[in-house]
Amino acid sequence: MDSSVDSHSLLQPSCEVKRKRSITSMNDLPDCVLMEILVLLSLPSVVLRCKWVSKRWFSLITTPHFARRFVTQHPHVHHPFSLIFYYPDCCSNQRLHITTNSETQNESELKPLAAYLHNKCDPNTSSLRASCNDLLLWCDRAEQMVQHCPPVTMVFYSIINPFTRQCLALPPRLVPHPHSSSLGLRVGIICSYDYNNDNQHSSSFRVVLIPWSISKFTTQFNVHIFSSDTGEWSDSVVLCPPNLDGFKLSLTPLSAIPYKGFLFWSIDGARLLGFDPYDSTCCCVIEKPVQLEQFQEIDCLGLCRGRLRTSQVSGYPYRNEHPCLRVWDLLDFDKDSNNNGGRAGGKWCLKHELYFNQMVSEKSPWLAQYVTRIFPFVSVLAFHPSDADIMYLTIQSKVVLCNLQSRTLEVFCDIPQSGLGHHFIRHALTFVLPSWPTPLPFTETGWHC
Amino acid sequence: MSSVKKVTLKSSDGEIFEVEETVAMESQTIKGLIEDDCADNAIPLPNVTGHILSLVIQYCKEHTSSSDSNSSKSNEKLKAWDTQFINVDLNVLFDLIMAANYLNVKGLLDLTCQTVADMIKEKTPEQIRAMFNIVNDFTPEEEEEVRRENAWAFEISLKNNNVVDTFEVEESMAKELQTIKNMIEDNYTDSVIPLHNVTSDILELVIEDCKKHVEAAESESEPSYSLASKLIDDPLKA
Repeated sequence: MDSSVDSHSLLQPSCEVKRKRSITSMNDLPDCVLMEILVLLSLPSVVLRCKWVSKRWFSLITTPHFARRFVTQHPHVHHPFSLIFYYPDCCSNQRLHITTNSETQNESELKPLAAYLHNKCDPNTSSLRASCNDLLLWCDRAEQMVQHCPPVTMVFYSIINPFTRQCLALPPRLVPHPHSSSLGLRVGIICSYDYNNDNQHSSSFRVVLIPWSISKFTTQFNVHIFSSDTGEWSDSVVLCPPNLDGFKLSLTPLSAIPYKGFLFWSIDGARLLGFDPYDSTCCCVIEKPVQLEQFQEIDCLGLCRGRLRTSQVSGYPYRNEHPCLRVWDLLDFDKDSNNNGGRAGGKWCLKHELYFNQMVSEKSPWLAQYVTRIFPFVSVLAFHPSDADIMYLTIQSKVVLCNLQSRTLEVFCDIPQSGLGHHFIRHALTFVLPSWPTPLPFTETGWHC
Repeated sequence: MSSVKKVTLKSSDGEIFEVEETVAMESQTIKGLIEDDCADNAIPLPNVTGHILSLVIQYCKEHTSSSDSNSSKSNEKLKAWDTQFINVDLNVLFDLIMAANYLNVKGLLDLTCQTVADMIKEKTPEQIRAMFNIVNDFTPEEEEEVRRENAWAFEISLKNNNVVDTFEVEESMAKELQTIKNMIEDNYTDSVIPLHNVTSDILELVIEDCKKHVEAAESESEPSYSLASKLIDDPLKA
């Protein structure tokens, strides 16, 4: 039989076989096929643009199933990150700086994110207080209610995902605190998004506020917890870990770092207080690193490659020896062993010890010279979230990349128009974009409960 | 008599195609039928028209012979053939996707999906809807909220003279300038919009002005164009 014979003339199509002359369009594609097309796109393309084409595309893209498929399709994606911090400018106004560059990532990826935050978060009236992956906790404003006695403050917080541009205002909260400044409250956010889980509570977060007190907490302390599962704030009284003789929250308002289901704050004696917002009876303390300078606090707390990391610049500036930068990683943290007297398993392991006079700089020799002078003003900004050899410092109005392995310093970016107080820059929040953006668990009409 | 085994395929509109078994087996669906011994007679394919089936068969032929040790088709040549092959009308492309999905021809499905994805890349939602005839079924309130939050997603750059002085502005602001609005609507948004007749400082003033007008418009007052923006509109329109 000849395959090229057109048998139309011989074969009368039966009534069941219709001659389809209708045009196939995008709308005719089944969901599974549309998904195969959309997962080929880049994350910004899908999440920022395709999501808003139609309700069908919206519901297809916002399922955990899509997230799983997307992540599988893009296995080697890097996770862009941004350092977010405040600094005073030459007119003593607060400014917000959001880094958008890096050696490996495409600069334009983060520019819209930075633009969004600059537009939304006026640094003189509001402040970004804490971060967890790609969610930021933003204190929109705080109103002192002077007529109350004892004085209280009404705080307005929001959760922002600057990548997807979702912003969720939390209900205002009255906290018994006289100050509206950020020194008054220690805050933290912890979130998780498990897209391998198809049920509704796959995305959840907790926000914790601890009113700071100049005196020691000996037996218990108050916390305010917001739960995304209930959509409400609640108060808790937490018992101090036993065998501890109490603790004081440290003076420097480092934001809490979420790690293994706990939020960690720095407390006196260079120790860390860990609190589990999902089980508010659970609280632990991590002892200070052994090699830490006496009577000094830790400079920086953060995450690197999924480990808790801390650092200290010591021997500085009042001693004879040269300043030394030490970095520790927490190893063997065991959540369950914390039931033994509140001391969590886990030890700080010294990973790097760098003397400033050992540092060199290829492109900016002035940096190496600067750090060896008598009173160098060097502050630690943040750790690199995935490269254990890199951390970020601020030196002379520049963000400096310090490679702990090769002991080099290079300028990472400028801090534009920074004023005299540039060496008092507050520690940076780290925004890290995960393989799939964390959705905020809410709809236009209310909470997913 | 040919020693090559052949199978017979019948399209939805009754066209008959005789193809070598190895070629037909590029389709996992047909392969399954052959292996289950259901392929003695013509295999009916009610979901695929003759025209599309012939294209699919072309694809399969090309890709089967490339894995044949006798043919020395390089990867680049095959890619070039694919690019030429897939250069079809949009509705044919979608028909091919449906056929590749139904017949389970992985290479063809990947090729067609990637082609569509390349069309979607970097386009705004409006452009995507226009291209694929998709109805916008968001309510005006939902749309407004999305627009407001996503204004910064659609940044465009205005570039003046030959000096590389780019200003990134919100799309809504740039639309205040009629000329630029037209350019945006004609899909200039992906590149830098050059404004040859305007210097940096004037452009800065205009942008400041537009900003105020957009804010004013949002608070429901009448937007009015200032002299400076007319300066831009007029010389460019000429």
